[in-house]
Amino acid sequence: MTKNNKISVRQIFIMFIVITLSPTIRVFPTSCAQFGKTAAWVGPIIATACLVLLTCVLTAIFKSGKFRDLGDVFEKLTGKVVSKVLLTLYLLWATLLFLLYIRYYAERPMSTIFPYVNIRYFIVSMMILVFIAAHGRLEAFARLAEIAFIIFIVTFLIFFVFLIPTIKPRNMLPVTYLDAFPALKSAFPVVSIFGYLTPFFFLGAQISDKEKLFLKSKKLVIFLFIISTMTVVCVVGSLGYRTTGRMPMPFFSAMKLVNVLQSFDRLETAVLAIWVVADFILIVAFALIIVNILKSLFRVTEPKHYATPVVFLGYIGGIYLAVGRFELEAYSSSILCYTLNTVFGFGVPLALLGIGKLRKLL
Amino acid sequence: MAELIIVFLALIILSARDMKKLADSGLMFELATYVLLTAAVITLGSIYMLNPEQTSIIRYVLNVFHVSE
Repeated sequence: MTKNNKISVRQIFIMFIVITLSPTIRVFPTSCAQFGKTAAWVGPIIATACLVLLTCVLTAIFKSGKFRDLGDVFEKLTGKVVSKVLLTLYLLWATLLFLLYIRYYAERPMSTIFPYVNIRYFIVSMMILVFIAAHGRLEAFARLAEIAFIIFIVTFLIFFVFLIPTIKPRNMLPVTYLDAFPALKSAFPVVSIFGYLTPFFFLGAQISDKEKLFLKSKKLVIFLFIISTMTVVCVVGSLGYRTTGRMPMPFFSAMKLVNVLQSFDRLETAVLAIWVVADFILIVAFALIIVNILKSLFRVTEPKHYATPVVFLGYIGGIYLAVGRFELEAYSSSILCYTLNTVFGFGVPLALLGIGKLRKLL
Repeated sequence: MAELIIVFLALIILSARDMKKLADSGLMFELATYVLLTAAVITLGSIYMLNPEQTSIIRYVLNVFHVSE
């Protein structure tokens, strides 16, 4: 697993799957239903194909072993000036996502169980944990993600098993060639979330076998494909695309349908609990990514200390990011958000691969 | 105002610890960058905490890209 205080590419991929779970629950069912209608479930399938392509691109970039991390790739392939511009853009993008997920985390207890509590209490409690984790060892954090991953598998399995009987095929069929364009549109939000794999390679110096990304991630890509597709299938199949597309949290509404022998229900509370863990891992991951982008941008050797201002930025920015939940959703469901994620997650690595091949550096 | 003072006091105390470590290690460029980043956070925090009525960060981003809700 770990080698010379480094983490393996498998652990990075597990971390990536865990951080996609929070957006999977929140974004996938609603956006896929809105765009794809009965073909909503095709979106994650198309998005997985794009993810496989991304792993191939990243493997092609790193297999030569010439590059330490993504910042190093920028510099060696595009030159100093362009690489600084790219790093600054990635820094802004990662910071926006960091603040967005802090605020989303804090809004959730406020909109469910603690409506009259000041949002600052939730943000402070999270930022204290983020501060500790961001100053700690990456290997320990990767192991936490692995444990969380197992808990998520079990929870999702229970969810799928109990929800399968409530799925109505008429909510997802028929799908014909006329649904090709809606299916492609429904893949867009999923693709934009899968693009979060790319910024993990700013931690590249701490990843031991990144040149084997494609080989080591095969099983995990299949797992992510099953999770994302089944989430959409279960929710849209149970509630229908019209209802799902209009609900803020269709995943929870679908979970409320689970009732075994009139004695086993209210599974949504378990999901709420693991969702907080997923948010913690997501926020810490973005904090580490920001710190490593700063390392590449300023060419510093001891980046860990930079976690302190980043955490404080998280507190201040988390509060002043948006006035309320509606503003958060206005951004995260906008084409702008999907486009930025897709450009930084997929577009830039593809362009780098092209540049590298043209300049014969790859 | 009280929140601003508490947040910045906490930031200064924790930053001082990091700065001491960086100075002891002789990493002067890292120290200068650290001070720059901390100053940027303090400036941003002051702008927002002293004037919370102003445009939220998301509204600002959406306006920059001309995105309507």
